[in-house]
Amino acid sequence: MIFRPLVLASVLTALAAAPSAAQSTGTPAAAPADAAMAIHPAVLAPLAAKSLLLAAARAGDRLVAVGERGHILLSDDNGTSWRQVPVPVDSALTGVSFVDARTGWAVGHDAVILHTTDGGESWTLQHADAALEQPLLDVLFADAQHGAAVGAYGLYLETADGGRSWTPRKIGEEDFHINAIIAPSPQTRLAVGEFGSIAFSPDAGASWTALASPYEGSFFDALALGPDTFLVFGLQGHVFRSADAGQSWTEIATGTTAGLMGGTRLADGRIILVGAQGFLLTSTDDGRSFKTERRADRVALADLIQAADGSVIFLGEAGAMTAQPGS
Amino acid sequence: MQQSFLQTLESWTFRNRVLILVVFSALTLFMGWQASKLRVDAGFEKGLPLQHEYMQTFTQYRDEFNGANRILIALSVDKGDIYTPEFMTRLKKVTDAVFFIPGVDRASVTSLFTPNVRFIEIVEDGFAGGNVIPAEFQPNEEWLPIVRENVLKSGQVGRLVAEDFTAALVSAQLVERDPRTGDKLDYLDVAKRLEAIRAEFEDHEQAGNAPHVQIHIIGFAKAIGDIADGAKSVVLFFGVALVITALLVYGYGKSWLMTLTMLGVSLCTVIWQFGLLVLLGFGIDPMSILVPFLVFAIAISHGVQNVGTITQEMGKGADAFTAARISFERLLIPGASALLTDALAFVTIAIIQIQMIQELAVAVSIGMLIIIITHLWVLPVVLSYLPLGDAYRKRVAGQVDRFDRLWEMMAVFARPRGAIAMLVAGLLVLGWSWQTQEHMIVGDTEAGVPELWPDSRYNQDAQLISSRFAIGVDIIQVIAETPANGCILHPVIQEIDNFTWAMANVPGVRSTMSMGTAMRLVNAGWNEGNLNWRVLPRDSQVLVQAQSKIETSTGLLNADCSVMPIMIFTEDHKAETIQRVVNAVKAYQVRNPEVKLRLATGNVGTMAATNEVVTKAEKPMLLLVYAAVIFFCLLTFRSVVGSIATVLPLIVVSILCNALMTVLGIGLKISTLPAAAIGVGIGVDYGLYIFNRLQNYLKHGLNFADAYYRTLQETGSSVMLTGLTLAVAVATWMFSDLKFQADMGKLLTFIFLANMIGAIVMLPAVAALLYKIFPKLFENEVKRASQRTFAAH
Repeated sequence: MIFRPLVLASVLTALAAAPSAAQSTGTPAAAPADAAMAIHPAVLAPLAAKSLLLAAARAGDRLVAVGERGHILLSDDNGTSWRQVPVPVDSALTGVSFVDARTGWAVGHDAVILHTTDGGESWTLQHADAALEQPLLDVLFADAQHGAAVGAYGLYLETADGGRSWTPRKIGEEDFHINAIIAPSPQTRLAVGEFGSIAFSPDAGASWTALASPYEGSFFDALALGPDTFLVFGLQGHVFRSADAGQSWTEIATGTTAGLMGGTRLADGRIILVGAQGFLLTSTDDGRSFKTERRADRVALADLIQAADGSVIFLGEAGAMTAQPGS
Repeated sequence: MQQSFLQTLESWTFRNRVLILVVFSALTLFMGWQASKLRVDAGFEKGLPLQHEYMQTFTQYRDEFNGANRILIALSVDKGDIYTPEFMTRLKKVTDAVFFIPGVDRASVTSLFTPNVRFIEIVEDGFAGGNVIPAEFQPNEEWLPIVRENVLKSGQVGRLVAEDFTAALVSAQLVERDPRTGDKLDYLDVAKRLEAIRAEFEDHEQAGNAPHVQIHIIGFAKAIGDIADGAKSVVLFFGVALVITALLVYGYGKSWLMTLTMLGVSLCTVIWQFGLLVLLGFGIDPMSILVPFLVFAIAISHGVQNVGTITQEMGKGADAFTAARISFERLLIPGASALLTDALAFVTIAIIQIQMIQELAVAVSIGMLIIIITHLWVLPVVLSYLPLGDAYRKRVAGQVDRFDRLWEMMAVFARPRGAIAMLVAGLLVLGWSWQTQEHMIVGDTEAGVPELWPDSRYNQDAQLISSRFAIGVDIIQVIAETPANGCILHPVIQEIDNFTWAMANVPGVRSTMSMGTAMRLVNAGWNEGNLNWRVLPRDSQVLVQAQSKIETSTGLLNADCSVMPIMIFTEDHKAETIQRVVNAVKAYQVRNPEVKLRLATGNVGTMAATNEVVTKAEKPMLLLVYAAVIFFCLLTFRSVVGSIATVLPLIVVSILCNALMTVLGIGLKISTLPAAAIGVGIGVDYGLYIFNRLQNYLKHGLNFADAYYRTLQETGSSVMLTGLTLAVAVATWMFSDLKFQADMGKLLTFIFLANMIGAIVMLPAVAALLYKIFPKLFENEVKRASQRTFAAH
């Protein structure tokens, strides 16, 4: 039995029903029209490090992980222990980006954008718009002033003043979800999303062009292996590799139909992709082939990050987990 | 007045012996006929404190969510996994068998083979889903890998399938009353059928190298069945106790005829007891199967008093008829007040608002009233017919002096020095006990069903299921009440989700599950399984989608989504854990009053209610018991000193008993709380018999120490024998197959013996000192007592 996805249609209807989605000029969370739009501060919970974590970044030697319920956790011992810090929102946080050991941004549902200047100890709210019903799904800062946050239904917010003001714009024809944005080189940007959308910017996000897609399903994330070598991956275990800045793509067999949610290249050059049902794909040949494994606990994984000491930390529905040596 | 009534009754009784015996025999036959209709009557709800706030939630929602009365049947393999044709075939057969058990709510039957177990997967164009085991499934190598995949996609790992794939569950809810006929469910029949499923589908022998399939069954129905089976061993203990008691009584009374007569009349008491239970419309509950045996033991203890008096009087030269009359006259007043005190003390148990306990209280109180008839009235009449002649008289002639040395030693406590020493010792015991009892546990300490031993099959099964499955067997459900369609109102469902997460963070909670949890998962499902979307959308129309895949059969919502249970699986059901969770729920509700959260269903929910009821009932119950005891002491003795001296040892012993429970790790719960009342109620008997005699000697002008020495000579050995026979009767329970009976046995044995010793050594010490300190009181009380006597004569 197949269920047709009603989601897009109905959400669009919903958006139409709520027309004056307050345009993004750093509207504070404290002025919700009604209770349904209220955003509360995150609750500090003993098990936060074991809750759903969705993304992580390095702030110097520190690890900063973000996840559901506005959880932000810091680890100063390479992922061995985590402590939750206060956050003014309890919206699910989906992306985090640091430009140095102190300065960073985190984004998430309710179009929240949080900013820290003390390595993640404290966060201030730069942007929020619950009524918009368009979650932010990733964030990328090139320096302390210039950044972009991407999200659902083509949401693209950019700033040139360190987030004091955010400007929305469209980077594609369609309002597809933009699931991830990366910087293959200081000048180039790559954004991937729904319905196989891949967009490329040769000028640090000033202009965007849609690339021909090898796949009609969603890409959840992308990895740059070099200025012109990209991996895009997502739904149903699909992985594609391009060595010509996205002009042509080669499908890489993975042997799994699990959605691939995130990936990273480790210091030793290995590439690891993670996804649903505990799937774990490893490449030792720069992404030309992958070995597929599955964690015994089968927990869904969202992303992974390598700590300063080389430890690999997985993030997912069971929180942050240090990879066993050898894996 | 009193005496003359007694005399009138006595002469009437002994003039109409034949009439009394005929009526008694006829009534016994009638009761026997009634008793033959006695049924074992197990009920789930009558063991619950239904008046309690939590249980009202349970009562209100049991039809929709049915939480607590579930049976789980796990099939496990010892090697390999469940994906073999043999295992799947067997799982299907067990599922079918469970389906046809009467009382099972068929829609609730859940296993890999039932159509309510589905999987959902995310594909390019949306959801794909279906039954985990499709209708066309054949147990072969072609289908098994498909099922294996579907199980993974279904999210049933840890729920219907063990986390290591070595076991699978069949789950079903029981309906206590047939909705069509209104008939009450026969739990023992369900238990039998479950056992039959085990017998049919479990591998009894290791067949070569093939995996060994075992079947594990848990749930109230199975537990009560096992308890009923275990309760049968009580009959054996009863037999053993009977033989030992017979030997003790013979050793004391030196006549088999008298011994057997007394035991025979005591058996008649039990027959009356059973008969009256039937007439009152009660069945016998496996949990309170000890009641008739307790009544029997108490009956014998009073019979022993009769035997003692008759033996003594005959030793002094009276004939059987006269001795029986003296026995009747002497024992009726203290005996009746002892038994009335017992009855009243037991009635106070009914303060615990649990039907089963209240039935027990009534039953055992009725037992006491029966004993007044059978043992204080009929027994002397029967004994008066005994053909005991000179030969017997010679045999018992030396009786009075038999324990003389002992009595002399004991009389020390009636003298000031001994009394002070005794009191110091008593205070030391009290001090230690008081300290120790502070740590007394409420509720259960062990894993599994506390009525059964930890190594019983049931508890081992519970252990296996809880270790191989993530769900655990201890669950408390909090019911969230919201406006209609609460799950599509973001503030409501978000609040439920926040609460669910808050509970997951409470120490002792193993996992949680609610509509919030499920809708977040489904919302991610609608968004291609992307974890970034595992949230509760704010828009109601999107929430409608997130809710649409969740059916009421999940037990997470009702039809209009205005009631949503939050399932909290706990690590164990220790009182401490339960209390922590309950407190956390209450504290959360205070901080977040928007959504109404109601405690609680699930087995841990009922335990929470029971623990609270027991804790709340303990003090008022003891106060009432003591009030009853003091009232009857005052009424019987008309003496403040006598009442204090009788009650004080009881208090010391019951506090000592609490300390003992603490040391033995026995928790205060519904099966042990009555022991305290029973202990006090019966403990007072010794004091009543002793002080009654003591008063008698005092008013004849003896000094206190001599009076006490004479008292012991006369009644000391029968008091000791009483204590011993009571203790023997309950001590055999310690070997019961049921842990709660063994616990009861330990406690009651201790209480009966300790109260006996307390009455012999502490009562005189307290009385002696009080009379020493308040000489006026001594004069007044003794004078008044003698005036009463002389006025009557």
